[in-house]
Amino acid sequence: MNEALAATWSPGRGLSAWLREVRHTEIGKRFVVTAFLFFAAGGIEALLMRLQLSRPASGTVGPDLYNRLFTTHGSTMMFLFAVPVMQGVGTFTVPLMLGARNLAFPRLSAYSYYVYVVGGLLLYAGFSLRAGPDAGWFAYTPLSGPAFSPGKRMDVWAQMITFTELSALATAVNLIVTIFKLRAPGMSITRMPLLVWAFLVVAFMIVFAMPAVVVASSCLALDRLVGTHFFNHAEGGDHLLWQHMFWFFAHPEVYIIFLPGLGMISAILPAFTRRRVLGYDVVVLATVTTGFVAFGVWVHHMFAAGLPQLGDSYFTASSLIITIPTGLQIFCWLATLWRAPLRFATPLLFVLGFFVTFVVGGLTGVMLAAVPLDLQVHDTMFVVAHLHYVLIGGAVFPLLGGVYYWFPKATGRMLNERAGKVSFWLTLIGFNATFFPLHMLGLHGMPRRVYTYLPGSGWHHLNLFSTVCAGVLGLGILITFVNVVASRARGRRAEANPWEADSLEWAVPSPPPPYNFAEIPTVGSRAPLWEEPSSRGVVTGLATDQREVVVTTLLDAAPDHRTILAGPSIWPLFAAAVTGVGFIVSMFTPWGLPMAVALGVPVMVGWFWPKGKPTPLHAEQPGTKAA
Amino acid sequence: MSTPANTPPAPRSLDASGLPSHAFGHRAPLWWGVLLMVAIEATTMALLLVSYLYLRGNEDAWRPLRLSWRILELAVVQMALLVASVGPTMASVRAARAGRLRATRSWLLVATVLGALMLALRCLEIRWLPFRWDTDARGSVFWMTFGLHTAHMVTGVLENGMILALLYAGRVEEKHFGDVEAGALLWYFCVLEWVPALALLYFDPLLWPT
Repeated sequence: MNEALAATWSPGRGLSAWLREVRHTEIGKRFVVTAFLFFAAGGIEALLMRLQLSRPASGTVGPDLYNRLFTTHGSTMMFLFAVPVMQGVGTFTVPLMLGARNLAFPRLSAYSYYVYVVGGLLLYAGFSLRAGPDAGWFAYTPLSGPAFSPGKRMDVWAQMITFTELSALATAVNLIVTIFKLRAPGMSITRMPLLVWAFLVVAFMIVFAMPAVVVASSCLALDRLVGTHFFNHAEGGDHLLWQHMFWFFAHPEVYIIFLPGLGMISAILPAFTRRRVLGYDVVVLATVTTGFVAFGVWVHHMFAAGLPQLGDSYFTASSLIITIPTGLQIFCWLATLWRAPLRFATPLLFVLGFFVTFVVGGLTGVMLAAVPLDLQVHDTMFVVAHLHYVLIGGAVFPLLGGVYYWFPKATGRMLNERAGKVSFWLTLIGFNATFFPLHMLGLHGMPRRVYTYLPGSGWHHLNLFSTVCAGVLGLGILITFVNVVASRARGRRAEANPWEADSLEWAVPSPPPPYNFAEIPTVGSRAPLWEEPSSRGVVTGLATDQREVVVTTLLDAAPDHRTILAGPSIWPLFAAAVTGVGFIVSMFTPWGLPMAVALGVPVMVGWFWPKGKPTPLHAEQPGTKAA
Repeated sequence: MSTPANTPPAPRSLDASGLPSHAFGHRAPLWWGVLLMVAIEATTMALLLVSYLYLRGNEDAWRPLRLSWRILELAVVQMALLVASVGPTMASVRAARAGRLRATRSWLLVATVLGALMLALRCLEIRWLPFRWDTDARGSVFWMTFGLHTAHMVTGVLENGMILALLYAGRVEEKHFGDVEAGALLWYFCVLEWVPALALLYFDPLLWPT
């Protein structure tokens, strides 16, 4: 039977099969690998900036290049690394954790990936042609508008945004539907793994937050291309409209980035504490609450914009409220760790590193939520320190833990533990030593986004220290990169469940076969591998010559009907190419969009027109009389 | 920490061969996919309407962008065509759920023709509009909202066209009836979203003193 399944679900061999790939394990891995390549690029940009700031009045990097460096660094880390890498982890883990054979819309996930790649290439093509954006990753108007940013630099930024948001939206829809409808029978919504809950909440946040930045960047592109006046005060537009729309997206974005990180902690902890995460209900409700409250705090990025005081007070309060659900989760994990028989493997170390760094970032977040302090340190290095503590602490540490945790599942080989531990300590020490001094520099008044400072400012010692430690941080990350490449080739073979973990992805071989589960399991508990190791039931009676899966009900995951998932296809690649041509041409002429529609229609027909042998209707054949 | 008692126990071994091979409505994955796409587009439309209100509220002396009666009448006729298309769409969904191919495609054809007619009138409106997107910010937000809805309608008509081509010429399978129902979700949304937009863009200016 497994041979029949393998024949049905395998993508085939060769370049054409590689381009037509729709397996979630493959697409997920490609997302993660590509995102880490962009992470490396963003890291090199950061190191160049640190080099420039290591001494006063340095001429290593000029002001124009510095502007492009911090803009490209910020845009890369937010749009080409942080969100896509989480899309990748979700694409890889969610179907496995749910006991599913693929995502609900396999071809859509391929499209997501290709569109993301086009957006990333656009940004770096622009950068290498000296047409890289230079107005900061949040591209405030009027600086980013046609009057102050002539040329194509900010158009590159605006279109890159549209590509990556499109990709994230497509993945979000895919994840939600997969989580709603493709859970293994018996995995009621109250038995879902906590990581899946995190991805569910994040996917809904993407659905309601990302349209804001798509609207904003489209309006900006139109202001620049065809002379609309959305952000032009002289003609009735408003700069603050940009800030509102951008932050209405970008604050939820922070949670979109780190909620999956929190979910990974909930997934990693059980394996290394030998117990389930304490307070499942609390963690789930805290995640959902964070998702809602995240939409009500965006104005705390705009305290310096001169908004009404009542509004400022409201957003101070809401920003403080959001610490409650996050705090609850942290206490649940601490309780899980308390007196547990801990196994200090690398994934757990990165989780513990999260606690240290993220809590510091959370505390400075509470400080920044207060208007007077925010006004004092606005646009200084203090904010740079805060946001790196939150994002690297909240997302990158759990993510690196996740890399060490799921690498065996993804590749069938273990990462080297000793190198992992060295990497962890260098990363932890390097990170804190790089970014903690920036708090002090910010309090001393050092502005962010200025390419240099004068010799008498008294800032150079801390800056030099920070730059040296950035090298340590870079080395720590580099060791993990080398570890991944070397272990991929020569690492110890991994069995199905090397960590003795509790969730379903560990029930299948490492790496998973193309059909994931030879028999779709039925689930009767929250920790199926621990609580029902031998008594798990299975689903029988699914076709093996078609990609047939069982669809379950939304809440109880009762078996409902069967459906056939889409197989490999080249059309997602073509569709992404057409999307690319449309958006890139429309940087130069508004005719790009009609062109994309004209090219898109045949592609959509090619994508959706049924091929192969049809299943005949049983109710009524064409030609019989309609009622 | 034990498994909640109110969820059913895990079925032991489960034979799926007796389950139906497709389903309608919220039971079907595709229905959810389209619903979420609609949620994305609805958020986009809502943001544009809020932007309109924001620009209006921030202007010291808001000068409403009045449209001539000729254009208002044209806009109302378009709305009427949209509303009229809802009935046939619902009828096509009902027929699709019953598996009646001919009724499904006939009603879908009626709805699509009404939508295409509405788009034809919209082309006329584009020629009649007395201001451009670059006239001022009011023109920008008007054209953006107007453009978004037109894009939704073009998508809806093209999608219906493709489903119709399939139902008339292609090899129809049970699952394509689900496509009809999912496509209808987008269609209902195109009609519904234009109600507040029409009120705000076309009729709100009449309430302001000149």
